[in-house]
Amino acid sequence: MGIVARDLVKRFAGGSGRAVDAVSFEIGSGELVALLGPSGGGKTTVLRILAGLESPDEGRVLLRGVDVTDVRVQERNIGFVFQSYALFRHMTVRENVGFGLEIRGKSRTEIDRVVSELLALVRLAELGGRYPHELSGGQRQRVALARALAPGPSVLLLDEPFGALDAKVRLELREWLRRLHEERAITTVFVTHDQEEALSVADRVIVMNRGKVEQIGTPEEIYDRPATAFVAGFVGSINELEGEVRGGRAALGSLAVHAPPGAGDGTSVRAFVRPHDVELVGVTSRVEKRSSVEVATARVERLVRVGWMVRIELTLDDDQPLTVELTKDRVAELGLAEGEEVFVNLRDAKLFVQDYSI
Amino acid sequence: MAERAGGGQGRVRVVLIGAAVLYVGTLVLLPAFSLLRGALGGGLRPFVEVLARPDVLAALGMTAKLTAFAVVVNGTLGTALAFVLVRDRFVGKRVLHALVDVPFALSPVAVGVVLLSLFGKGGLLRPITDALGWEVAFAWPAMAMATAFVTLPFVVREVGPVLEEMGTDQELAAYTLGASPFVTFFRVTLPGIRWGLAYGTTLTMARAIGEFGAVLLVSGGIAGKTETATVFVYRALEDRDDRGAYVVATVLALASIGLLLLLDLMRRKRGARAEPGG
Repeated sequence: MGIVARDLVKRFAGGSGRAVDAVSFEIGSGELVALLGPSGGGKTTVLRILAGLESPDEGRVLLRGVDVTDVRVQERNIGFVFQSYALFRHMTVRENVGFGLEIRGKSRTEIDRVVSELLALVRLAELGGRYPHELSGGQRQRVALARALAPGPSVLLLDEPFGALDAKVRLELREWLRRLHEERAITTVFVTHDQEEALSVADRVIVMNRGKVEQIGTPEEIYDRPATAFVAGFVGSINELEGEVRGGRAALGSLAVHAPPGAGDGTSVRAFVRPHDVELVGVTSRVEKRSSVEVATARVERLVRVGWMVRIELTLDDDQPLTVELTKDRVAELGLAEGEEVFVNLRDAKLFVQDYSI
Repeated sequence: MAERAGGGQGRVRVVLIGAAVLYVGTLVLLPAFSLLRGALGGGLRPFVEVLARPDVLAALGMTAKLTAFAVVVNGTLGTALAFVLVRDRFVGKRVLHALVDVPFALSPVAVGVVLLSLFGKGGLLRPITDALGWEVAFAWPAMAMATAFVTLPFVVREVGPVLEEMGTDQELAAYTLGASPFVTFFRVTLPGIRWGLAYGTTLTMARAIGEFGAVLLVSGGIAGKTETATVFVYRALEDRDDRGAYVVATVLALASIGLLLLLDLMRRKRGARAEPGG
């Protein structure tokens, strides 16, 4: 095992409440794992506990099978990339990257060799003499990565590594992190609040909310089989419909889908529907309502074009809002316009029995 | 219309610029000229002769010694204080914050009086210093204390904001790279605050060199022994030793100008690095 977290607890400074609440997980050697969740969900605190930058109030941390809970950050042999990059401002790029080797008393020639190798790897070979304030955000990020990798850590931890970068650079760096990971096979954990980032980069995703682990799984498992209502809502679903089970079907206002197994009549349910799981049958004035499928009518409130996709904001006839995404060709084919009535149908929905424990 | 308005504005500007130049000229240049005339009026030779006098050398030496003391003490303790005020949270922190500024507000003469009440004849701490055989009042220890006191806020107030702005991420990054707290302080923290520290230290020097009131009270003004440069100027004028007063005053003025240029240089250096780099 690369990393094991066992029942980690961290209380807030004030003493009330837990920032991290009984968090446990195992990460295999060489895995690339995302800690995903909303800000304030405790994921950064977990990362800092793994690094040794914070100590847990309860629980243990094991790195490479060794209990390091009481080992100082300096001796954990980890690489950490800060959200702010935290480059040493008074040092050049080369000095930054070489710092970890220099304080270990490595020879000048070895430092030079490793630094040159890493700068080539992060494609900054030309900029070794620059100072951090002379670099762009993406370049700083890569320097921070090279610096973290220089001492040869067994575990790489990244806190919101791409958060402060613009969209294009972010995509590039994601791709690049993926490739770096394939080349070096170093156990890597990164924190993000961006579900797309987590699902597209990581081998496995740990979803956290309010200090607790909601689900651990591959991106497919997280996306296709969300374990909790929170995960369903956080990962890819914009639409949330309320309803109850009636005659083996989950009635969601004017729509209905299969009831969750074991839910009797009268059970309240919450349904999460992804925008592409809504089928727009057509404009009411132009298609016949087929009695064989359960369809509802809705009004088109707004059409928002985002690149080659169109986001369609609907209001169902029972006043629940519903967002649908279609390609612009499909919208043209259906002849959709704002203010029109359409038939809609649900292809799929993630259902959760309402929790009344509150 | 617009042209006339513009012309009117132009005239106002010329008058304002003229007034500013005249004001600063009268206030700074005229005295400077007069000072130089007094010091160098007889040529360079008398100037050097005065500088070579033992009492003048002793006074300048004393000022240099007190300034060095203030720089070392407030450079280290001031930095430590800034750390405590920026990084730590404790009861009474705001009081400590306010206390650091007291030397700014308090008249140096009052500082002298306080020191005399502690170490002077019948002073509160006098039995202790006497028992230890220490000569404090009317000797350099009291003068050093007075100088250190009046210069206390400079390093704290210059280093504090730099520390605040720097945060702790760079230090934590050094830890994750394997650096001990000791190595981190000297390799990361100290270089990070160096311009703030240099700026605060330079202000400390300027203030220490110019200190007069507090030092005058506690020095006893023994010529050639406990006299600083400023106290020397004061006594020289009393003794109608005008040339001596002018020469030492000129040296003090030159030191100030040198420090001023240094400050300006540092401000520019620091400004170039002001943008966030990490």
